[in-house]
Amino acid sequence: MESTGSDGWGGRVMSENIVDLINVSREVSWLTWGVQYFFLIGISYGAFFLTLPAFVFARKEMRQMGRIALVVAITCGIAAPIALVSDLHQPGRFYQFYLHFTATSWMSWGSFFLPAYIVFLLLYAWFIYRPDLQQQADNSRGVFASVSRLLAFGGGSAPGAIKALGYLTLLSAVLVATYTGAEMAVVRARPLWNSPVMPLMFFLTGICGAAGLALLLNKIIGNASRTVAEQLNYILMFILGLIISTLLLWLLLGLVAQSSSGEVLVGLATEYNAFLFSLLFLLGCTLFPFLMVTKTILRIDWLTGLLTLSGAWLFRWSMFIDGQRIPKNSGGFNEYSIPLGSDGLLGIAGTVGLWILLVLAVTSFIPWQGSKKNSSK
Amino acid sequence: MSNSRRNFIKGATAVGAATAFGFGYSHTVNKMLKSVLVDEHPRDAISGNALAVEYSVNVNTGKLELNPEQTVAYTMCMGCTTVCGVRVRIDNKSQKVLRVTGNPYHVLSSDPFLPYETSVADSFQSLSRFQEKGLEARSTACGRGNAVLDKLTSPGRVKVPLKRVGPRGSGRWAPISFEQLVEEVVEGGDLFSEGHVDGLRVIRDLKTPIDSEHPEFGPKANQLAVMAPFKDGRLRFAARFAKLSFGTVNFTGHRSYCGLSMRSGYAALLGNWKKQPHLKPDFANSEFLLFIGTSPGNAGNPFKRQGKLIAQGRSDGNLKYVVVDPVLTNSDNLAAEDRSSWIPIKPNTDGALVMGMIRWILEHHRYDEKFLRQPSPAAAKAAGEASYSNASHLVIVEPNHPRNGKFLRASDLDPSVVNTKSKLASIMVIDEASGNIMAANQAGPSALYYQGRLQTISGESIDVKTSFSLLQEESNKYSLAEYAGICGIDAKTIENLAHEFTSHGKRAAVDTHGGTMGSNGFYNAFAIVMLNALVGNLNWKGGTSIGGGRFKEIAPGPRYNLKKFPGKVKPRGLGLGRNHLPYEKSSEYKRKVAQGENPYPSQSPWYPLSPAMSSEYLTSALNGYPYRLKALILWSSNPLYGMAGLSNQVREKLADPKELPLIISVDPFINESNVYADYIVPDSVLYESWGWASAWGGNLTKVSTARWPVVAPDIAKTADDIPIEMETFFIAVAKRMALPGFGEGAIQDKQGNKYPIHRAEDFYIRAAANVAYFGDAVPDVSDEELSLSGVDIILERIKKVLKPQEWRKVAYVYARGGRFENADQAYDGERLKYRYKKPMQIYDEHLASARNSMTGKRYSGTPIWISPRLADGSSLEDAFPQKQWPFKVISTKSNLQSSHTIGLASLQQVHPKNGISIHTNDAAALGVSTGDQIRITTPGGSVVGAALVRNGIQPGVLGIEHGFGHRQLGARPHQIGDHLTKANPIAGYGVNINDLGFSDPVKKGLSVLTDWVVGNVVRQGIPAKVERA
Repeated sequence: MESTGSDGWGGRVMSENIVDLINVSREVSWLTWGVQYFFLIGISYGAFFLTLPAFVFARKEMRQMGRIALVVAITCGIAAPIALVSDLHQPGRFYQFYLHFTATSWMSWGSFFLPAYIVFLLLYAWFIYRPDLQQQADNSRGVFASVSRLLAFGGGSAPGAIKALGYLTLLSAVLVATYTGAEMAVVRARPLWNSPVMPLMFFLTGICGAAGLALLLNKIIGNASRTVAEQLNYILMFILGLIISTLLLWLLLGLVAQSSSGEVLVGLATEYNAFLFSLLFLLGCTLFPFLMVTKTILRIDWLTGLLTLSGAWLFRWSMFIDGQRIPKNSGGFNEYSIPLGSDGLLGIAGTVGLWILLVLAVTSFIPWQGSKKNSSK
Repeated sequence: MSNSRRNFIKGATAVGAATAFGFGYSHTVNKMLKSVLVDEHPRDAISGNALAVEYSVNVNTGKLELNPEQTVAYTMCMGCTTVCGVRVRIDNKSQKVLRVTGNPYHVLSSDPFLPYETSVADSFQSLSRFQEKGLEARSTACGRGNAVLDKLTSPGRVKVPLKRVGPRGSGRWAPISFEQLVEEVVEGGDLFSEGHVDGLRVIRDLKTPIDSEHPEFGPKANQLAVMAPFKDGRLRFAARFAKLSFGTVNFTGHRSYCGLSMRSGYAALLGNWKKQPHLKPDFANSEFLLFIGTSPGNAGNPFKRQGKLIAQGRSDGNLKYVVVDPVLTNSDNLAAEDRSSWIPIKPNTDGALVMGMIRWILEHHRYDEKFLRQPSPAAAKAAGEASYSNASHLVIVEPNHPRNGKFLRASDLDPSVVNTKSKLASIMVIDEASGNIMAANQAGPSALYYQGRLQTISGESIDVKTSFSLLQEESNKYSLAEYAGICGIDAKTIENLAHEFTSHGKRAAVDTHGGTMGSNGFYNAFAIVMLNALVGNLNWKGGTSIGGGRFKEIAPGPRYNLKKFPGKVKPRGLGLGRNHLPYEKSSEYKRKVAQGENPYPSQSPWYPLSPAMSSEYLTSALNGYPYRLKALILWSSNPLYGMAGLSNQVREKLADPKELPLIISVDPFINESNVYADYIVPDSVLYESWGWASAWGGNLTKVSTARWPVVAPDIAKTADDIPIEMETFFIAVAKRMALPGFGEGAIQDKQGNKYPIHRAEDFYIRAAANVAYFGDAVPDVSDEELSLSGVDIILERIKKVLKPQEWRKVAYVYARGGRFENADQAYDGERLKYRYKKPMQIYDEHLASARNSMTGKRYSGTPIWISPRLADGSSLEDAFPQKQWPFKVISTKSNLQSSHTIGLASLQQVHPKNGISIHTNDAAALGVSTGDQIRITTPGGSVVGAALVRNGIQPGVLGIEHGFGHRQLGARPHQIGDHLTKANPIAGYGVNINDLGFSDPVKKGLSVLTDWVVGNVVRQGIPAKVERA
């Protein structure tokens, strides 16, 4: 094999001239849809965690931020499984998961965790919005009023139910976070994935991305509240700090050859796809926003939001797609170019489109910011 | 922001988002709906719409259940020269071959292979999951073997006889009847309105000499040359027509431009220049194998078998091997760690590496002294050796002695002694025990290093040296450091190789092949194979083998004599390649000497050592030296594509009918050579033909592979309803000319009864009878096996041709795809059962007696290191210096493409083109990366192709995989009647190294560069320069 050579001082040098004399080129089988699902569901549960102080622990000063986070959680939460179904190569057969439960498969468990999470999340949101919907019905006329009334279904406030559903959603969110990380971490054939760091990093980057998206929405659909921005920056400081420490530990273990996952990660950051992973993700989407949220450099909220959101996506792209490009039994780094059609760019555009539609729907039909009366509470 | 403006933005965003969503998810929705709405169910839940199986075996009971819609038959593949036994599946309705896999009885497709007595039903069961038998008995065909199936149905096939209607090479043809074809080629006439053309009838004149001034050229019949492909199972039928019936000496296959250097190296080692036998390692039991200029498992022959055996050996067995080649191939395997390794080498310098190894082995006494000291079979037997050598035989080294360079005979010491016919009774050695000089067959272990002066009976003295001393002298001509510098492999590695090679007793072997096809190829090959002699591995388990041979089919066999027939001609005269006859016996030489001229150089080199030189046919015929041709028949051969430099040399003249008046091709396709033909006769391919082939090497037991028409040929038929193929054409021509050996009474049985040859099967089925009755006759076939094996298809023909008692035995053979000796017959204890009887020659007297016809200098009888040469022995480097031509181009063998397979659709899909392999550093210096176009220019031509930048190639070398860069085989259209064929540009992709070959400046007229001793065409180490295109 001629793919790697020595550079003379003990390090590894990637040859750019790899000739597979005979090989089967393995196609990437988890597609961009998978990245979208992991991204959306990560943002969703991350955002859900951000709603907890406001609605479960009754921290009033966090309520405004919680309401933005709730929009993020439900919109991403609804879009996520739709992306997931598309990643199935035969999407019409998703029901097979429910006909053939397999206790030894994380994915099989996930097929129950995921709907549970979505259902609890929507119920949780509904109980939060119910009084506001009632108010909206009372304050408006025509079809809009009747629909609001129907949605409010009585319209009473039920803090107990919110709390109970909050805990249930929390449990299912933790299960979703666990299963999404674990189903990659169990793949022994891919050393990069085969590490407990995988679920942890998904979890942290999920919250990070959620906070980033909330920071953006605060500007776009919210009233650009300074309080909210400060709170989100504060959360991001912690989360980014954790992400950076985890990554450093992971890389360090790889450098001293204590973790084969870490070794591949070092490869990803130095030779396989150094540009995407180390330059864009490590520097651009973790370190740079960290410097901003800690006020080491000038803080620009929309940029922080955009970068941390991109970071959550880039991490998943690198792990998912680049992870599959690292060949199992040949040299180099498999060729992959993102297709233009629905397995690629169009699919990504489709999920983004769906999410925007959902945001528009929520912001148009649901008093997500709370009615005057309720918000003044 | 106003409300309406906000709503407008919201609305526009919604429309945009909805559009993206719609398009993004349309495919998903489609897929979901399809599974609900479209009633499209695959035939099977697991195997989908894959072909129905040919049979199934119950995994619990082993019961066989046939698929009545398909037939399984064991026959022979022709994707490459390995010619494996295969198993084909035929769809009964469409009469199409569906798939190809291996024949489990066949040594080239399976290891272990089934005992021959296994019933056909059991052979099917052996491939199944029943008792997991299929794991062990797995029998395979390779990728090429599967793809080559496309040939049967290729749209480019010639199906009717064609006659050119435009100038040669114009690609304009008219379909003609078979009867017209035969009449025109036999009778001649003004066939193309270009003037009179002699037909074969006139050309076949066995009495009148071609040239009365050169009677050694032989009769005019030699002015027909027949160029055939290789031992594909039908070669001996064509030879029967050309040599024994028509009577031309000019019939041969492709060896001189394929592997002549290796064959010649072995010819010298094994002392048989006529047949050029060669050795192959006993792959299964070797402990160390050294492959130089060959890539087991990547290509080469036997392709699958050696690949499988070295893979088994390096993972489960004790095998360690090293591949020495300028290019890294699949032969090396990282997973095998130090069990396999690759050592890059400069092209054409294998001899330097090996002479360095030999020097070290001799200096360190690492050779098998016990073996080498035995001067005769008797001594070897007494010493427990399985063969002997001439290492101790004494050679006369007295420059003025009339027999200088020959072995010392008893008569040289005492002229009164009459040398007996037995060479060993007259060749002298120094017996070690007594110290006396005595005949080799009398002596025991003899001195290896003797050199000195011996007294003749008349008191004169003769300088003599042993063969081994001469080898030592040659190996000492350069220091190890010098050898290392020449070949680019450091001295330590050479030492290590030599040490390893001599550390496994007789279980080490060296193997070589086409990598030696350079202008110094012969001596490189001779040096390489000499290593086998130094460890004395011949005839030993784990050593080297001459092969198990075959059941003699085309022979004076036990049932029919297919060799001799009434009126059989013994062709005579000088071959067109100036081969097999020393120049010194020619009229040219004698005339020059008589006129007091220096007889040297001859106009073009002569090749007294080589048995057949098809590579010289076209240039010789067009140069008129030694003589011109009147007719050429190309059967399934394509020298203009396959021979380096030839096309550029002869294309123009070949297109001129005045230069070569009649060219007939028998070929299923139009290729780079027969595009210049006047007539093209269609031919059967693959599973449509009859034939008898064997394994080329690597088989320790007897193998005779049957090729039989499992499907009807998709070609036109004669008025008598016989498919028009090579045999049909030759039979018809022979019958029209009333030539011996064809038609009525052409075959005799033991009792003297006569039988005709009217059709191909009249010959091949009788050959099958010889196979079936060879030694102990095979059993009769059962009725069950007749239908199981598909032999039903040809049963009527078998019964018609044979005697009533013979057909069941012949059907038994066809039912198994041939006859194969069981694997347990391979060894006789630690020795091989089939042994080569003659000595391993350290010194070849025949070689040492031959002279280069350009200089008159004698060749060395032992291996030497000599750099690439021109025909007169001058240095190639001097004529084409490194400064001007800094690169060397070499040809590499493909694991998928053969020279004739580019038109196959399934290979075009997986491997449509080749690149020009170039080392990373060379590419960096040129500033090119993979995919960039580069131009290679050599003294003979230039090609432009894509760079393939690799670390796995020796710096300074450009590697071109063979099989691409075609101009025909579908790459261009042809006008056939009123139909214009469609060109397929893919068939022309890539580059062909043979467009880079060039002529030898010291030869007169048209020529190609060849080895200076044996004349193999040079395709390795072509001097070149390279630039960005």
